[in-house]
Amino acid sequence: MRFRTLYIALLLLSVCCITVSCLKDVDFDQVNEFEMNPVVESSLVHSELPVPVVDSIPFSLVLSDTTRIELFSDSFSVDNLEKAELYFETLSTVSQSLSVDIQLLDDYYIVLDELSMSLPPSNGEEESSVAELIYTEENIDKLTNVTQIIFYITIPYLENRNEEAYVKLKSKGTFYLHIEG
Amino acid sequence: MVSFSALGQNKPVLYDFTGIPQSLLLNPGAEVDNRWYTGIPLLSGVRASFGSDGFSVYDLFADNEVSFNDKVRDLLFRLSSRDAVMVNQQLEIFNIGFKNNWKGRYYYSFGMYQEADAFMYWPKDLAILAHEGNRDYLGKRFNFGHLNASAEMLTVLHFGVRKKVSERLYVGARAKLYSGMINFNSTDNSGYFVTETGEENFYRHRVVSDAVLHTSGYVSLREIEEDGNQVKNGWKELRSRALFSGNMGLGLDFGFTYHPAKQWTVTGSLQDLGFIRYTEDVESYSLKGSYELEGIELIFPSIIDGSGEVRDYWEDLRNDIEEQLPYDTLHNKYTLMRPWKLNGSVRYSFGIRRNKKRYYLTDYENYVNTVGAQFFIVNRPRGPLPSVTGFFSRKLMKSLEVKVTYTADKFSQTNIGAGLSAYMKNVHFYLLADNIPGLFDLAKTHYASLQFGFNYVFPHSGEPY
Repeated sequence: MRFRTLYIALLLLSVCCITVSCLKDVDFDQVNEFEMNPVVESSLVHSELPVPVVDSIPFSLVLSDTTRIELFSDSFSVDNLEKAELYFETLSTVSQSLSVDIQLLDDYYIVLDELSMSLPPSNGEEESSVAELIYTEENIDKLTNVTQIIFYITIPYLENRNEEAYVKLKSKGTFYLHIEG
Repeated sequence: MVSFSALGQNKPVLYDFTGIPQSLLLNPGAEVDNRWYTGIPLLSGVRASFGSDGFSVYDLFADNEVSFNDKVRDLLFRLSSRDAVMVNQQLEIFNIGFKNNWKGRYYYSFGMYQEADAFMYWPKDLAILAHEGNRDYLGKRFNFGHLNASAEMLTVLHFGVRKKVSERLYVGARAKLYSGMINFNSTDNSGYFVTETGEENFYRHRVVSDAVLHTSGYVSLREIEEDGNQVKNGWKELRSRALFSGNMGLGLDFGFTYHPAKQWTVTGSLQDLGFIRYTEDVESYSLKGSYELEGIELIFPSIIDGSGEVRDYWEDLRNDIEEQLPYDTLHNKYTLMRPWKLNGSVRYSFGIRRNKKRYYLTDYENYVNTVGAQFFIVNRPRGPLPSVTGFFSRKLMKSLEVKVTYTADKFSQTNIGAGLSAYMKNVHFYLLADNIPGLFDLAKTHYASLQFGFNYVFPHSGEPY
C-alpha cells in the first residue's frame, strides 16, 4: 500500500515536471527581430506679426528671428530618425508682396538647408504659400545636425493700408522613426 | 483567457484541503487535525505560478511563418488595458503547528515564508503611442492611467491561533509581520497626452499628468558595482533584508469553520488585511502637472518690443515645461495596503469507508467524499476580482486524499486543478496543480500554477496523551 502511494505521488510529480519543462513550437530568438516604426507629428515653430499701416517706405524691410531647436539633433533622433518631412506655411494679409526665407543651421552657423516662400499682395483676403523639406534615409544626417532655424521676412518696400494686416508663420514636422530592439 | 490577476493569488486546490497543514495559511480557522506538525525547512511549501490573461507565450513566440513584429502588432491592438501579466513565487522557510493539548481547544501555528509577486496591466495606450506614434491618432487621449504595475519581494513572519468554540465552530486569526525586501509600485496614475488641431499652429499638444513610480530597495541595487559579480552581490543584498529590513508592515487574517449540520460545513476567511510602510532606500519618480504646446512662438523682437534682444526660445521652452510639468525624483516614505483576499466555501461530506474484511467497525464519523463550492475575491488596483470553484475530494485510502477543482471566472471556463495529500508514516507530501490542461502545453497556456511540499506530521488519534 505504501509503495502504491509513493508510486502515485512520484508519477504525478514526474508528469508535472516533464510538462512544466516542455515549451513546444516556440522560438524565443525572434525577439531579436523586434522593431518599431512610430510616426510622430509635431508642431514646430509659429508666429503672428502685425504689420503697421504705412503709406510708403521706399526701401526694403527685413525682419528676422532665430531659435535654437535641439529636437532633431538629440541622441534619440540621431539613433532612430529614418525619414522626416518639415512643412512650412506662410499666410499674409499685407497689401503687397513679400517673401519668407528659412535657413536650417548647425552649431557652427553653417547653413545645411534652406527654403523660400513668396506671397503676392493681399486684397484683404489671406494669401498663402507653402514649402516642404523632405529628408530620406540618404540625407537624414543633414537634419540631425540642425540645431538652429533662422526666419527672414523680406518686404521689398513697405506700403500697407490694411489696419489688420499680419504675417503668420506655421510649421510642423512628420518624423518617421525606426527603433530596433 | 484566464483572470490570473485573481488566480495568481487564488489557491482553490489548497483552500480547505485540511489534510494539508498549509491550508491554515489560507484560513486560520481551518479544521486541520493533528497533534503537531513541522514543515521540512525550505521544502514545506514551494509554489510558482505565472499568468497572462491576454496572450500566451505561443501567441508571441510561435515558430511559424508570421513575423515577430506582425505578432506584436496583433497583440498590441488585441489586448486591453485590463489584460495583465503576472508572476508569483512563494517559499516557506519554516512552518510549525501544534495543539495546546489532546483536547485541542487551541491550535497554534507559526512560521515564515518569502514571496515574490509581480503584475502589470497592459499599458495599452502608451504601447500604441510608442509603437505607432501620434500621426494616426489626432484627437485621441493616450491614457496614463494604463500604466499600472507592481513588483515586490517580501518575507512574512506569522503566528496564528485557532480556537475550538464548540464541536460545530472553529474560529482563527493570524497576525503577520511583513518585511519588504524590494518594491516597485506605480498603480495610481492618471492623465493623458493628446495632439489636437491647433489655433496658432497646425497642432496643439497637451500633457496632463499625475503619475508616480515608487521604489524601495532599488537604489542600493542600482549602485552595486558592475564587476561581474553584480547578480551574486545583488542577491546577497536582497537576502540581508529578509528580516526586519526597516520596511515593516502588519497584517491580519481571520477565518472560521462551521458545521451547521453533521455532513455540512461552511468556511470563510479574510486574508492580508494590512499594510507595509516603506521607509528604507526609497526613491520615487513623479511627473505631475500640465502643459500645452503649439510649438515655439517667435516674436521677431525688433518689431514687437524694439529691444532687438535675442531670446533663447529653446531654453525658455524647457524652463516652462520643467516649471509646469516637473519631473521630480523624491525620497519620501510611502505606505502600500496589502491586497486583501476573501475566501469562502460550502461543502457536503458523504460516503463511509467500508472495510472489506469487516474485522472492525466502520468509521461512521469520517466521510470519505466531499463535494462543494468555493469563492474567492482578491482586491486589485482596478477593483475586486472574483472567481468561483466547484470541487470534489475523496480519501482514496487512509493515507491518500485527492481533490479535483473546476474554477471559473470572468475570463476562464477551463481551469481544472487537482491536488493530492499523501502520508508515508509521519512524512507528509502534497502536490497541487492549477489549470492542469495548461501544464501540458505551457507555451499556449495563459496560466499555470504548481505547489508542493513536505511536512513531518504527528497525527492525533483523539485519545489523551
